[in-house]
Amino acid sequence: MKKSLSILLALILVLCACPVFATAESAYQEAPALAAKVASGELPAVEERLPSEPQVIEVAEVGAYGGTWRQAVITGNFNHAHSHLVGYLETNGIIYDRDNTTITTSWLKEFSYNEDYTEFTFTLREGLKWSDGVPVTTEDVAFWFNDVEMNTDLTPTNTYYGDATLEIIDDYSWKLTFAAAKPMYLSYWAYHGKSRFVYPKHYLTAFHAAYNTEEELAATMAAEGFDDWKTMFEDKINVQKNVDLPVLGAWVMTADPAVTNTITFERNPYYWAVDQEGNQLPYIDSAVITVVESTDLMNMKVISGEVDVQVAGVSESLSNYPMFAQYAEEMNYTIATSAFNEPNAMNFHINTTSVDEVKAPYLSSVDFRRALSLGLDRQTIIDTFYTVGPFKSEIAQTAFLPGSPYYDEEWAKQYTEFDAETANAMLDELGMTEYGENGYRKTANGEDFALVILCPSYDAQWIEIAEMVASQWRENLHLDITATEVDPSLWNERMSANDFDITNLTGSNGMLALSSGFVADWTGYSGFGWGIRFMAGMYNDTYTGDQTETLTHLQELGTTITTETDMAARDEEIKELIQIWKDGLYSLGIGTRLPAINIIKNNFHNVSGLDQDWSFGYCGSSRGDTYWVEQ
Amino acid sequence: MHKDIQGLQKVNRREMKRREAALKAQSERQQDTVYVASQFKLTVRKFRRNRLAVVGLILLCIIYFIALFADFLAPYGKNTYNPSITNMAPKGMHWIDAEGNFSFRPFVYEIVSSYDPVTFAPTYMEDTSSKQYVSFFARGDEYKLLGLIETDIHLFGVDNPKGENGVFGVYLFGTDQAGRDLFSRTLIGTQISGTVGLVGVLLSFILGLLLGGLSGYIGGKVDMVIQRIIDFTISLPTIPLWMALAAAVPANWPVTKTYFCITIILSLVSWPNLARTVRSKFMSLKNEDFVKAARVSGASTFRIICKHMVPMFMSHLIASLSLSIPGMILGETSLSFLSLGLRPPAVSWGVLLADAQKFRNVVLYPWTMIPGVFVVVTVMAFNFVGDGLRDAADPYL
Repeated sequence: MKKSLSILLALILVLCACPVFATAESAYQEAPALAAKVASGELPAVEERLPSEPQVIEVAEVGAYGGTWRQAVITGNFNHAHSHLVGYLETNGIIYDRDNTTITTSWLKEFSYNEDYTEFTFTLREGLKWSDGVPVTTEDVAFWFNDVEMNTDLTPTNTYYGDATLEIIDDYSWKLTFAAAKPMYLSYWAYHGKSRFVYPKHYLTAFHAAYNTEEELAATMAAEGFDDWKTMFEDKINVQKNVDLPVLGAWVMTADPAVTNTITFERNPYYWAVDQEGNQLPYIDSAVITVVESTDLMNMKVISGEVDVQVAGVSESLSNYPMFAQYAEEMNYTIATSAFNEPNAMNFHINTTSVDEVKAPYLSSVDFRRALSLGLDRQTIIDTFYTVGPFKSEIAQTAFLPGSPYYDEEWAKQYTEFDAETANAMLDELGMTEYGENGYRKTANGEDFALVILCPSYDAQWIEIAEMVASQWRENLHLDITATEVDPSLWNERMSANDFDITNLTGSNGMLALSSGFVADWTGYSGFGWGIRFMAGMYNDTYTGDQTETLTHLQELGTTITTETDMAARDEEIKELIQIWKDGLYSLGIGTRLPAINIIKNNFHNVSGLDQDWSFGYCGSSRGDTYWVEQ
Repeated sequence: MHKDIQGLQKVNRREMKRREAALKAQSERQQDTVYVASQFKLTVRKFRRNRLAVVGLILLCIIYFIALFADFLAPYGKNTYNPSITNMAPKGMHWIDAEGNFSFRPFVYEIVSSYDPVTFAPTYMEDTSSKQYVSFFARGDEYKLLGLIETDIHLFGVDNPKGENGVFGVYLFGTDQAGRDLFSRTLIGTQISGTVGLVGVLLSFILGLLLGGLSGYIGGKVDMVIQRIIDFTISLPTIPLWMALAAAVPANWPVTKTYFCITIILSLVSWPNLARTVRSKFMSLKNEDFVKAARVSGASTFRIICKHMVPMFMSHLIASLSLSIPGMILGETSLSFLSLGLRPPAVSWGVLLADAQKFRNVVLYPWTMIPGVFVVVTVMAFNFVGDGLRDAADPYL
């Protein structure tokens, strides 16, 4: 009796314990669709698919699985929607955290570096897998470094890794050693799409010249329809083009963007992040990006409720708010505004390095630029173009924004008051006292003086603003200034030929995130403080005017900042750079950028961090993998 | 029954009128004047009988009158910004006030702006407690009448546009995104749309007529040379040509000047089609008896061409001319992608319509499409007149 009782007890215990054990054993939960696949044996269990230490994300709301996230994007900008969806976490082992200031990891476990910024050590999450289930190891790192970065066919000149050597420590760790100090590389790697580090070697070797004989490669190229292996390989490693490429992102592309305008994505069963309760991310099952022809079609998609979370293509035009708001209730979406971290709503860059004999003495004179700035009635421009309902741009010069560590109020406000009298007196002082028959000022030598604002046709409104600015200068300062709009390609040509007087453009990087892409890339157009910075890089070889000294100094300063290992010294150097910008007034601003607008369906949750700042990737630090849909 | 009789009477009356007219026409034809009338007289007579053509001609006269005096007729300048009334629906004049009192002199209410608290769309209220009479020959923005006389007098307007809480003004077609009066812009746009394109059309017409005529009439070596020039011109690919032009045009030229140059250059490559037609007409006509007769009578070549041959196919020329004008107006902005078409800050109908096509304007600000009515009317007027002229140019048909 006793024996049978104990057997019975043991039996009951076992029976009861079974489910208890099952739940206790699996710390992780997965989407129902994946669970079904596990049950049928198609997929390994969730804990085997996740790394041993997956990234744990504290989400605001623990979500439910399921749903589809629809986006639309204008032709040619597929990368914007793709970046919002997966790109940022897909390609970056190192990322900016959601506070946009600290640098953290995504699918990397950890990283460290020495004091001299010459040695960087990285460690992968153990058990991390590609979307096809193959483990990610330092084999893939070696492939990325030796066969892509160091391959002279694929990377003829390697700006970033030219002086680097790779040392594989074990299956999961490696070390990059640079000959010269690289203090900016961490922020550069955290910059969107720059810390790639791994490529799926098991898939890509088939397309690489080093791993195939010439006959094999020729056969592959013939089958894939390519003429040279470089083009083929570049196509195959492009996550936005190749549907077969194993990836690390939350969703895997399942439709070829080359053949369809409706590009679909399915969840990656091997995704490496979980929420605080151990639910494998992403919550959303699938995603769709529809490519449309124009902004108008994009707007139509929004007001007919055919997009769920949309930033690409809508965020820039706050003036569309009334149109979107009209349909918000009916179509069940909310219009959210988020910060737009651009240094100004519109920058007027003055060509200090003009080679025109008549114009150059004035364009390169800081008093002339100050007079131009004082001659602007910014409030009227803002009232006309930068006011939408309660949102109103605030008068400001092109400068770093409040919130940036380098914000300087004096800089942001200098010469922004409308004072035509002082401005005219300054112009008189410059010798422009004679007036021509047309009523406009002549130069001190009595020559006709006419300037043109060259406006690229990126946005239909830009030329309207440029014309208003020009008309104010004509009226208030009696300067013959007109505005003309040109096609972006022609504009580019004119810029490279140093053939312009003034140009207007929006810019980025108002917060000064110190990626080397920002300070070191002297030839970029869109960056901050562009006027002089751009010219320094662009014309230093050919320009021989009186600005040469400033340009050389700026260029040297740029190099020093990017290689400075002493952070306090770097701070001082940046402040010196800012002082040059401030004293020179090379770019005139109008006012602060109006906020960005984003469309969010009311049943989408956890949507946050949509601040617009290119330094942090397309959608700031928003994590699409944590969005969830209320069914 | 009664109704039937009435109907019958009506039919009879109409029939009588028709017969009367026919009789009158017949008697006119029988009169000697018809037989001795010059061709010009016959053409005018026939043209006047085509009512649509006459209406078209009157419309064209009005449009060109507007073009000539646009700055005076328009209450505001083409680029007069007003930040407090951006994207405002048309606000016209009133004759009857809020209490129902009639005033012979039109007046406007003060326009107070605000925005919708939900959609943030601008809203404009008329404050009926504050009104101002519209003045004729009011003083406003300065301009040069006919490009000569400096003045600031406009046909109508308000004397004190600044109100206590808002603005006073007449905005018949509403305003655009920068608060500019669309009515004024439409009128001023007539100047460019009605003139610049036409120069190019006329130039290519003259070139085609002249070169085609020479080629067909003289023949031989001249014909051979001109035909090879035509072959060459036709074979020029236009897009690369435009691209080359886009790069060659100085950037500090104002948009209208650029556009004017482009239309002229376009006309230099678009004349061959007309020239070919004219040539074939000349070749078939030059051996006709009446031409031979003129020649043996000692008429000069110029006289033979102008008096005897060109009138034979005048109708064809007029038709091709009147058809190419609307194409020119509608094509104003088509070259904008190469920075060659008309673009802001120039004001023309094409520019205004390009703005109206934006989705946001269609949804929220449909009044931006009003300038389109002007284009439609002008194009139709040109076609009616061209049609009438073509019929009238063959008075014996």
